[in-house]
Amino acid sequence: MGGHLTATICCEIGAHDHAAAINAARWISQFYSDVTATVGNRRVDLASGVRGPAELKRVWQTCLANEKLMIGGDAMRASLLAELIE
Amino acid sequence: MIITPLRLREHSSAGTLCVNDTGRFFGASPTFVARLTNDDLSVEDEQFLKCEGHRISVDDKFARFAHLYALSERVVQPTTLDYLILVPTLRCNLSCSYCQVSRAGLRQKGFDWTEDTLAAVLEQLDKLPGDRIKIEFQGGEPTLRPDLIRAVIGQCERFAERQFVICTNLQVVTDEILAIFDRPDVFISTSLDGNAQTHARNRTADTPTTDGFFANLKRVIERYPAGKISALPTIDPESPPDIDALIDSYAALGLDGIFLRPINYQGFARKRHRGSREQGEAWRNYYERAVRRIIQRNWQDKSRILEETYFSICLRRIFHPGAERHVDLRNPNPMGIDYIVVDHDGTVYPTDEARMLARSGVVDLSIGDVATGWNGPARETLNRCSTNQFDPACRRCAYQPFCGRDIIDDIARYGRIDLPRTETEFCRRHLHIFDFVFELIYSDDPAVRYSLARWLRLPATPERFGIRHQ
Amino acid sequence: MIPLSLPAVSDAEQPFIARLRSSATLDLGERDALLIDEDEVGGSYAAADGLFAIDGVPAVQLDGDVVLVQPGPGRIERLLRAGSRHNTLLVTERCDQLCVMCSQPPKKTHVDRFDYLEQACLLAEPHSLIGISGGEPTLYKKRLLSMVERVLTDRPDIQFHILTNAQHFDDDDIHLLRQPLYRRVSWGIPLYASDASMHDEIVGKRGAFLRLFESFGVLLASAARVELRTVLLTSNADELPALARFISAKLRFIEVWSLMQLENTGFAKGRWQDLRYNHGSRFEPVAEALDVMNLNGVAAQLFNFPRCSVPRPYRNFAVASISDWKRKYAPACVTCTERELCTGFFEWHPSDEAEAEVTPL
Repeated sequence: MGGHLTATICCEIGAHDHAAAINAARWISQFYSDVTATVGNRRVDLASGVRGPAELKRVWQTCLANEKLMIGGDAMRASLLAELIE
Repeated sequence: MIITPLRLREHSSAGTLCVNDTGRFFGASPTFVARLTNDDLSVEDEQFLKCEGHRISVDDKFARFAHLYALSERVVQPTTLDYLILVPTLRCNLSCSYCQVSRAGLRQKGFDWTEDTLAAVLEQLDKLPGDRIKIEFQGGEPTLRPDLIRAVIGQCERFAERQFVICTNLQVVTDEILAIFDRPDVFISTSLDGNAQTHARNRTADTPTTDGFFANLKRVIERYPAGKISALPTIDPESPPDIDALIDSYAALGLDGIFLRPINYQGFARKRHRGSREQGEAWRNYYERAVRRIIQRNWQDKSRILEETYFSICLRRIFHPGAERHVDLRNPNPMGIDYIVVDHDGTVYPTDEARMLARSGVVDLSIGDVATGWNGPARETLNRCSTNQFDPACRRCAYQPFCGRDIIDDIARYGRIDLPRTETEFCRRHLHIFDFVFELIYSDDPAVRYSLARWLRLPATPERFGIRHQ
Repeated sequence: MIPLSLPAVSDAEQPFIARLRSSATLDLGERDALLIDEDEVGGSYAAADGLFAIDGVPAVQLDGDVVLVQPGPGRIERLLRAGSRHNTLLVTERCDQLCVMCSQPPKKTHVDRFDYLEQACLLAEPHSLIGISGGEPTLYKKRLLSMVERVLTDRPDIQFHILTNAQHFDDDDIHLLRQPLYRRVSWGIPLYASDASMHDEIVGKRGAFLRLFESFGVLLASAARVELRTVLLTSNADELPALARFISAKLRFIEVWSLMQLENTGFAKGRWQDLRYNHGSRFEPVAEALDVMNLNGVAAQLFNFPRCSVPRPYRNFAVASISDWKRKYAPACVTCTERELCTGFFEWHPSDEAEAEVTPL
């Protein structure tokens, strides 16, 4: 992503959300190629060369929520699927 | 235990697109996402999610089984072989710049089925257990060997449901070939790159050849009912044809389906069109403009429905799982099980792309031979990886229920199948197309809704294709 | 209106099953009753169980019918009419629900006819689809299932369609219902709303919705074939789209959703004006429900909707559902080009309404 950034923001990470935040930051650029994320101490720094601040925040919230859902239910969801495939 | 089998994607039109593992979806507001993240769902949220199957108590037998049932509709389970791509000859009477199979010259020897190969094909056809069959004749130019086509068709008379598709360049249509075309179970698929100029540039080169093609095309279109003939353009993304001119060239001939496929990274194309390894931004813009233009034209002229074939396939993957049997977009994607390719020399490949890769000398993905079988370790190896189900990227992707896995495409482009999904063209292409499909799903434009309804073959036009939850 | 029950006299002491035959043929079985005498309005028959005479219908119209001769009440009941696609066997008049529009209001007493019904089924024409109804058939679940299984075993060509409120299926039934035999059984099960209290109110039983979904769990686990049925009423009409969404999310395993217009009989008769939803004047909730079903790939159909009352895009969902014996057309229908495809009206549909509502196509 070259030079000019349209937004840089910083979001707080909730006390119980660290694991989900790490995953979200790791994957966010893969699904939203204009976004970078760096996780620090109870915070994440986000930047984009395409989206504005409000939109960038929404992308982060969505990724974080997605990762939380996975952490919460992935094992059960996978086992349900395995039940089918066997 | 209660699970919420949703995956989320931020989307320009839907808001936060929430997609169930079963494929059912809704668009959500940022405040909903916040409530979800903070474990602070309202009573209305819980009620909505429960009714839509997005909150499941796994101890509730009904809820669990209902979810499993819907999940099962997304998982492919084909069993019997009932679709074969047959290449009776690799010889061709054209020399298209982008030829994906590096065709052999008209008089070259050793590029047709031998007697033994034909016998082996006929024997395999006899062994097929099901009651229906679809055969696609590819090449080269298959109509150079009408005798082989007739032999195969003859062997298939026993099937209750038969469909034969002859993929032909329509350069030469003799009475003998016409007699085969006349059968009601035979369909014709040809290439039409646009108007005469575009077509000539890519394929037929000189005027007599170009004129000959168009004359034959008109001739068969006039002779046969709608739906018997389909055509595909192959588009140079670096100089794509004018969209209206392309649509006109199809519409004028009564052809309603346009499959917009950019030049493939195979065969002659690898040499002549170096830029084709990755389709980029320019192509995606062109594609979107083309689909929007088709929507406009459908709205202006309701006497016919034009569609971009792949868009419709993706749309149906979302709403009508199982209705479409497009072998390049399904999950898992069984290799060499329900369909195979038999090459001019009897070699069996899992897909046509695999055949092209071998022909270009890139990699040999053959799984056997029509005479001796194809149920060996090669096939097993392919099938072990032919799914998107457990991939770390796909597991968190909202489009996974609609998407697929094409390991042959990965090999063609990158020589390996273990690149992170999101770095592959297959993934990027489908992220883009599903983003685009959902943009139209959440559009309020009546012209958009009208086309979506027709492409889904609905009797009426629904008020909305996607719901929202605040 | 085709009579299902006729006056008869018999010298037998007990009721018995017989198949009426107008002429002797090679395959006369032990339950065949041969016509020995006839006139314009009836005939006399000889069966292994006794002699009987039927009054009211010429014998030729009864040829091939499987009947229950009831010497006591002096009647015969035509259980399986030859050549009809609409034969339904009543197994009980008891029911444990009290639907607000019930067309067969329940009685407290039960007369066990299972043996007779089984004998009748074994005499059915080849490839018959036999309906089973009540009251609530699964109040006698064990008896019902064993009868069904014996018939299906002895007659591999027969299929059943069983109407039930699905209040009595439990996990112990799964091993039975999973048997390949039950591929030839489909269950017609009513669901009136996606909201539990609305459904419970319509069926007159608190907790019905919850119990129904326990049964759905059993039926899903058994890979059972289910036809979901919803009667259209003023109370649930506007909730049809929500119900369609619910079905397309959670009841995808059904074979079809039948959306049914009200029948002016039984309880509905006294409540016709209150209950009946006039879809002809406002089709929108039905249209939206059908749109949801089509969009999400679950089959739906309209029962008891005259074709002219359905807007053209949805007209092919209107199937000819009304049984032949209780069907009529309005006088104006004689010029309609789609009459052969149309369900017409119930025999007891108010004639003035029928006349007012038709527009020949």
